Amino acid sequence: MRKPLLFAATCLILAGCAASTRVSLLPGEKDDQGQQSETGAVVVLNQGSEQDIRLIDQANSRSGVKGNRVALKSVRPEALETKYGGLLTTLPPKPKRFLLYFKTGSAELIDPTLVDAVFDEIQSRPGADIQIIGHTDTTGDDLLNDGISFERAETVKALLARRGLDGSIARTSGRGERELRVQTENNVEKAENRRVEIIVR
Amino acid sequence: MQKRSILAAFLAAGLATQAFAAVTTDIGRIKVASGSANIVRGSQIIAAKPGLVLQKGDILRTGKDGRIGATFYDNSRFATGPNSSVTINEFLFDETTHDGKFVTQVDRGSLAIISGQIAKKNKDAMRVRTPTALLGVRGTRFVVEVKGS
Repeated sequence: MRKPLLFAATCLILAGCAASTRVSLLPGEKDDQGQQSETGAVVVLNQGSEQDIRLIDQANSRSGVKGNRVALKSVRPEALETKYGGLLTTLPPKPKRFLLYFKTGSAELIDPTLVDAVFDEIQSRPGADIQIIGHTDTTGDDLLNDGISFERAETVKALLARRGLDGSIARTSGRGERELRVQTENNVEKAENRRVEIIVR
Repeated sequence: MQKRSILAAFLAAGLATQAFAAVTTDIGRIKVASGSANIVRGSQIIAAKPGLVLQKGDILRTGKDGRIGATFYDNSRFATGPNSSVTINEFLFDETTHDGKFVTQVDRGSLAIISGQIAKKNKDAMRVRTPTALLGVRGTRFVVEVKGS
């Protein structure tokens, strides 16, 4: 009679000794072309030493984890999608990336009308935020390129603002020539590198 | 004249970067919210709604019909199911190098995760704690469920 009570009391004190954790690994998400990307992995670590205990890398599996004990079982491919359907549909859409290109040495867009597609994407997403990152090719020095890349990002932001974008959801930065899309020697004009990358989340 | 405007732009870029570094407590935004869904921030309770900016330390808390979906600045995405309590303990992200650290604690309920650039760049830089487990995330789509705590 006494023992269960004592056990219950200990459980309350230890908070969570009755808890169990389940880890369900799903296949990778489908990409924009409908291709399934590869399944990733989750590793169970020791809660103290943080050493690897067990790698969970089998898609469509469910593992019970309690400290260092891991019990993995396979489930039917549709089982997890069904069980967690409501949860998975709550995941926000995958962020979408746009690239817009610029005339050499300037913050003038080659085709300003392409900004419309970016604006439409932002409008279609509730609670959207965007990151606008400017880049240059390898002509010009760093000081110049940092300035131009930032101006390019600001140009895109201004064009979006003209269409009605709330500026507070946009963050801009200029990366100069540090992140080339196409690798070149120094001082090479390259249209693919004169760009702004926009991530719409 | 041109030189001066370029210099001004560069200075603006430098200042903007600094300003951003100073206020980089923002880590992402809520995109989806339904039912009883709140953000607990210190002693404040804020109703979750699309567009709400999240900060490090925020707790996503849902009632029996509640759900919250959020996207973070490293492109990680979360969905919390009903009766859940999920704390963002740590979020550090270098947008240049993609180095960072992302630690989440699931105290109860369920959390679906599609990991982003932090997990992609460094093995186990993204972690999830529960009352009975410590998980390292290596680029994936998965669900953590905590029962009976």
